[in-house]
Amino acid sequence: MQAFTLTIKYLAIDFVGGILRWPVWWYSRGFILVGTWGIGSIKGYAKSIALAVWIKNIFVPMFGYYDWQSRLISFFMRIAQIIGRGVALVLWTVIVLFLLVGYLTLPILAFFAAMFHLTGGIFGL
Amino acid sequence: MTDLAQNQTTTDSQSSVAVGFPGILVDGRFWHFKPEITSGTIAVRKAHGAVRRVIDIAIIALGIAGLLVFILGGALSLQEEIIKADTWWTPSPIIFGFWLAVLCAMFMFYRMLSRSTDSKKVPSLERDKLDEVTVIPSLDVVERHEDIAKVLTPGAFHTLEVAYGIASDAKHREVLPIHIFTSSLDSRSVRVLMVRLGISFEEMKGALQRRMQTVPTGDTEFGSAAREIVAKAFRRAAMYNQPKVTASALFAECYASDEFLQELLYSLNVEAEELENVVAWIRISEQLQNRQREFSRAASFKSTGTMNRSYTSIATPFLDRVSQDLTRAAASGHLPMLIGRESEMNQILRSIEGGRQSVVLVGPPGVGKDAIIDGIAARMVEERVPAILQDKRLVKLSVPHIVSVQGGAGAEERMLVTLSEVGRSGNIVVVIEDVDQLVGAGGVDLSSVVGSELEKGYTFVIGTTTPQGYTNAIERSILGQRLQKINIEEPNRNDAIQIIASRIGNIENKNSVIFTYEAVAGLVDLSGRYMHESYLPEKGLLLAEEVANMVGKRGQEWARVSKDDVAAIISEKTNIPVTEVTQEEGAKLLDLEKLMHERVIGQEEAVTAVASALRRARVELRAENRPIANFLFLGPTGVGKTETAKATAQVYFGNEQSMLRFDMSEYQDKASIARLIGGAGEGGQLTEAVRKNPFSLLLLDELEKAHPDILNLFLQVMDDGRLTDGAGRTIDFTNVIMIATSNAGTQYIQDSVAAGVDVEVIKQNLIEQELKQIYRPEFLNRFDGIMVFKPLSPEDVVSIGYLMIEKVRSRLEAKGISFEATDEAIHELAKKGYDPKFGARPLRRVIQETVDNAVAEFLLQGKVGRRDSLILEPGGKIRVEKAAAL
Repeated sequence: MQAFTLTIKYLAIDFVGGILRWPVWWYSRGFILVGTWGIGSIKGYAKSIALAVWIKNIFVPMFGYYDWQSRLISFFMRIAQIIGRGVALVLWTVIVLFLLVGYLTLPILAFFAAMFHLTGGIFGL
Repeated sequence: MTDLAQNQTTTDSQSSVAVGFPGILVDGRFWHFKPEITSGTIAVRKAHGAVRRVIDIAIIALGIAGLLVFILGGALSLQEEIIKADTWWTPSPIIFGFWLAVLCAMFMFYRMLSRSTDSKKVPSLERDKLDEVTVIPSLDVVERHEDIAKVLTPGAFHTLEVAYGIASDAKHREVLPIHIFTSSLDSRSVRVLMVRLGISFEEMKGALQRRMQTVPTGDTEFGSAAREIVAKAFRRAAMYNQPKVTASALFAECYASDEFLQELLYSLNVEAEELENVVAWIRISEQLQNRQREFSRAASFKSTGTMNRSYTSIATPFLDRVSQDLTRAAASGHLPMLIGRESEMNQILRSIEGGRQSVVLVGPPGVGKDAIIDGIAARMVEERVPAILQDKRLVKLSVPHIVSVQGGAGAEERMLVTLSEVGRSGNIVVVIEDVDQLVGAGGVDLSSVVGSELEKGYTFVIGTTTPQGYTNAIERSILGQRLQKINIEEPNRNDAIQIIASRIGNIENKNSVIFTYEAVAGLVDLSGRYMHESYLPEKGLLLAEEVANMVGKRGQEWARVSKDDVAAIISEKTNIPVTEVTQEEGAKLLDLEKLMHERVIGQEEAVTAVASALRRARVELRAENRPIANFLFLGPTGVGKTETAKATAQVYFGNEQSMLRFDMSEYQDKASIARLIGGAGEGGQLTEAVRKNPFSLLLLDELEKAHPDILNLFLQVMDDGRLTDGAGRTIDFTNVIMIATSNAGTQYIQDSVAAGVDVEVIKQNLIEQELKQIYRPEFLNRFDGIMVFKPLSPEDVVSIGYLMIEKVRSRLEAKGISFEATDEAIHELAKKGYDPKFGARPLRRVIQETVDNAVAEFLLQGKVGRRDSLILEPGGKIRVEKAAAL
């Protein structure tokens, strides 16, 4: 008997309480966690494509060729690289932002959509 | 032990077990173990866990159901309609399935993530900033408190609950350290610990059960004794920077707080320090794994090709052919982690950062110079280096590859090409192992090429060499002026143990064995003591491989390697008994006098003294920084001094060849010191002999004839157990038995013995008067024993006669001839061979003349053959008894 009441109690705490706490967590602590992940991933990507290194070395000739023609070619090559890599970084940032926006909107969307289909689709209201 | 029992009886009479709240104050928060543990709470937790699992399963099932409805429904009824917007705006159970699955997935995401981020971490604090565990009477006295339960691993919490279970099953009134200790034995981390300690639960079971029976009974309570253990374990985790309190922390704290447990483990040969070291070993290996994880994360950013991240370098085709890229090897995880060596590493990086200075690491082979270079490579991968080393490659040049082509011709050009590639590329740091070999490699001196290129300043190198190599080849060369010397010493005991422990995993897996901590410590201690030719940690690691191989071949899976296994390998290598004394050997040691008397007649006092010294040495009761024993044998010639020395060598070192014999009459002048200890470029006779055979008996004949300065050398040997040779090497004398013989005072001994003076008195007079003229008192004091060998009595000589005849018999037996001597004949020989002045020495000559000569003649004349017998009769006649014809 005691076990049964305990089970009921924890079912209430864990499940019902969980559902009640869910939105609060999702838009506070959860968002901080996901946001931190997003920022980390943008930083990691920036590091891996070494954009800062390219910008710092913009006037340094590539591949050890120090004559002025090579320097010129190098300069433009680096400009091109910086633009290319910059675009890639921006793209990745956009993707991450998109995911973050998705994180924020998806629960509301899913909830209302589910309600809409549940009420209309199943009960025919 | 009894104290604890009494304490329990006193608490027994009190009304309640729990008094106050044990905890620890960290940054203004009082950390204590909050939850109650009773049968009720355990049941509740179990129920809670079950409910949680049921909910998890239900949500997942619901989500899958929704997804199935969507997929099946979509495929069967909606088909291509599914991509139309209208479908999604029209209420439908199929689309509902989709959204339900999404909701379930998000809900699970929330449940899992919130659960894993719910638990806290132990705050890490400096050891000296950490308070002791205190007990407060009420929680009201502190403003803020935290629950230690939040930083326990699930395993540790389980350990506490099981401890409660053990106590309550036995109806004990309180959960005590012994309960937590017992229950922790079942956790995974403690099981590993026990294996490393070389003990098992079975060994402790009986004692634990008996102890439990003395615990007062009553209604079980998880009171302050148990809570104090948890608080202490928390303190330990904070001190060692561990994020969670583990079962092994509980185990260690139970041990530290309970005298009975300490005594129990002590009886199993585990001491407090050893236990702490094993706990540290496991902690460090966990931290190493974390470091490895962080390293691989960092390594993913390092460019592993020849090109650097800023694309300023060039291709280096020639260099690539004659070198190995260490940064690439490190990034792909092929190089082992560097343990310790912080100060050396900082010194190197400072030198490089300071002024693009090239460095050379100077240290004996095997101390870990390469490991330090691998460590630099690893730090370059993580970019945890000064700016000058960032975004660079560390490349190890293979000098043989440069030299060996075309028989060495053109090696200088090839070296220049290599270095110019390095210079042009600008992202390469060169490592040259054994830089001393650049001098005279293949008949050319590459060191001046490298030296002059370094002078131009476009690059710098990191070299390694041995102290000898540095002195001989580098120090005064052009290259030497460009290289800053950094000494790499042998790691200390603890570092060596840690280094070996960090690498032992591979050796264990390869051979399917497990090393106990004692074995690892034994690798360091025993190799340090008995293997002086090589250095730690390499010799320890090589030894570990051999021991693991030996134990692995016994056929038992995951057999434990003990200290005795290590000792066995060392004994095998060095011929010195270092294993524990077996029963058989123990009996032999106790009977040592008898064994030695089989060779030495009379001289009881000397034989007993030597035998006792050997026994002390064998059970490790001797001082370790002195020779095993130093003896001075005094007495006339031919009375058994050398024979006793030989017998000692035979008994202790296994054969009488393990004797280094020096006739000190050859070292009478001052110049002979150089012959004994050597000079620049050549080894000394004494020092080389002992260096090559560190486990031997050193016999110094006729010590009184040596130059007084030589006696001073031996004074140092007897005092410190070591001697520095002419080349500056320290030679270890701690494993020799030193025996000096001297004829000084012979006349006095002979006269006194003849006058019937007691040996003790003779000895005293000798030391106080006769010897004083020859040896300084402090020299005589250094001997463990000064033994007076008495002149032999006629009976002694008869006994020696029997021994010598026995030797003749065994020599002839090898030729198939049997030999016997009648008692009368032997007495006659002894009489003939006895000379009070020369002891038994003339006897040997007499036997040679009467027996050996005659036998030789018989053999040459063919009068005696195999299976025949010779009988020595009085009058020196030898009768031949022909064997019966076959």
